Amino acid sequence: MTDEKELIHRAQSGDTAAFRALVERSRLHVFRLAYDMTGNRHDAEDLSQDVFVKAYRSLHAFRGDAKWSTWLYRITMNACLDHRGAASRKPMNTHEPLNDEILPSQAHAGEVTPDRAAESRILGRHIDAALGRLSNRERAVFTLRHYHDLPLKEIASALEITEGSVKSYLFRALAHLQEDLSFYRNDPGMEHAS
Amino acid sequence: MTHEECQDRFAELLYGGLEPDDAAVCREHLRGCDGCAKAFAALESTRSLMDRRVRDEPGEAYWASYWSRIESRIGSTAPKSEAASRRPTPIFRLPSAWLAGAAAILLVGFGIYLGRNILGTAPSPAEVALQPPTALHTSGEDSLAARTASYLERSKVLLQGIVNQDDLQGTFGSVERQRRISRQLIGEAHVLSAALKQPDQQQVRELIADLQIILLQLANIEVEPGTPAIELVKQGVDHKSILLKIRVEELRALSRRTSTQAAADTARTHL
Ligand SMILES: [Zn+2]
Repeated sequence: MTDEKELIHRAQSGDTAAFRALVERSRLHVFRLAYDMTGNRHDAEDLSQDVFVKAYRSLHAFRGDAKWSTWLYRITMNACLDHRGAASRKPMNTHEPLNDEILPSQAHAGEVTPDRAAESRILGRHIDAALGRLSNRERAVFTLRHYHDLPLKEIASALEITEGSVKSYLFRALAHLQEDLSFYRNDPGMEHAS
Repeated sequence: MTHEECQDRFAELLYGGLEPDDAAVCREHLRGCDGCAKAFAALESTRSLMDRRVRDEPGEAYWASYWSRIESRIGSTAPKSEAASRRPTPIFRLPSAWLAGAAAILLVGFGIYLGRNILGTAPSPAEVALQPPTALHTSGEDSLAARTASYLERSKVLLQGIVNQDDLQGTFGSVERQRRISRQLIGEAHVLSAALKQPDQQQVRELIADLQIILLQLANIEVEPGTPAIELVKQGVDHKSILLKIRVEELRALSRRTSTQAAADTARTHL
C-alpha cells in the first residue's frame, strides 16, 4: 500500500492519479459522515463529491499536522453544515418514511403479526429523526464518536473545539437521544440485549 | 466519588476517554450505587439502540463513476498554490443554529397560540358523541384500548392525508372537513387522556399530547393551500415523528392483544 504522505505530496504537486488513490481510500468514510450529518442518501452522495472537489482545491492548506482523515472530516463537516444551514427551513427526513412501503396499512387486531422488517425500518427512521433534532455540535460529536470511532482528541481537532467541549457535547447528545428515543423503552419487542 | 462526579463521566465511560484509574473509581461507585447504575444502564441501552440504524448506501454503479464525476469538476487544474482558505471557515456559525432554534420556538409558540385560541371553538360533547368509538360492549379495559386504537387510526389517516398531499383539497375533502375531524379528535383526546391513567399508558398519553398540538394547528387553519401555516402543520408531523409513533403504538397494542390472547388460550387448555 502506497504511503499516505507520499500520495498527499504527489497530489499537492498536481498528480491527479495520486489524488484519485486518496479519494478511493476515503470516499466511503466521507459518504457515511455526510449521510450521518444530513440523514439523507442523495444529499450525502452530492456532498461527498463536493468534499473531494474542495479538498483538491485546498490541498496546499494541508500541512500534515493533522491526519488526512481528520482534515477530510473537517471539510465534510463544513460542507454538511453549510448544506444544513441552507436547508434549515426544511425538516430532516421529510416525508420519505411515510409512504405505504414503510407504513403498510395496518390490518385489524389479531390478523397479522408485527412485521419485524418494517419495525426495524421504522426504528431506523426514528433514530435518524432523533439525530436530526440534535444541535449541530451534538450531532457532529456524537456521529464522529459513535459511528466513525474517532477518539475524542481527534474530534476536537476536526471540529476545532476543546476536548472538554467534546465530552460535554457527547454527554448532552446521549441524554437527548435517550429522552427522544424513550418511546422505544419498556417494549420487549424493541429491547436490544447488548 | 459523588453521584454527580460519577455521572459527569458517563459519556467517557461509555466511549472511552477516561484515565484507567478514574474509570476504575467510577465503576466502583456504580457497583455500590443503584441510582447511578440504573442511569448508566439506560445510557448503555440508548447506545445499543443507536447501532440499529442502517444507512441506505449507494450501489456499485454509483461508485464506478465516482472518480470520473470528481475529475470532470476538478478538470486539469492543479490544486491552488495559494490556498485561499488556509484555515477552514469556522465549523459552527451562529446564524444557522440560531435560525433553527428560532424556527423551533416559532413552531412551539404557534402551537401554544393556537391552543389558547381553540378553547372557544372546541367541539361540544354532543358533537364529539356524533362519532363514538366502537366496541362499547366489552369490558372497560378493552373498551379503552379500542377507543385509543380508533383514535390513533383516525389521527393517522388524517395526518397521512395531509403530509402526502400538496394541498388540503382533493380526495381528502375540504379544509372545513379537515378542521371538523381535527376538532372531534381534540375533544376525544381530553376524554381519552383522562382515562389513560396507568403507568404503562404513559407513552400513549405522551403521543396523544403530541397529536393535540398538531390537531390544534390543523383545527385553526384558515389559509390557502401551500401557505406557511399548512407547512407548519406538516413540519409538526415530521418534527415529532408522529406517524412513526402511531405505528409503533399500534404494533405494541397488537403485541399486547396477541399475548393476552395466548394467555387466554393457555388458560382454556388448562380448564
Ligand atoms: Zn451514585
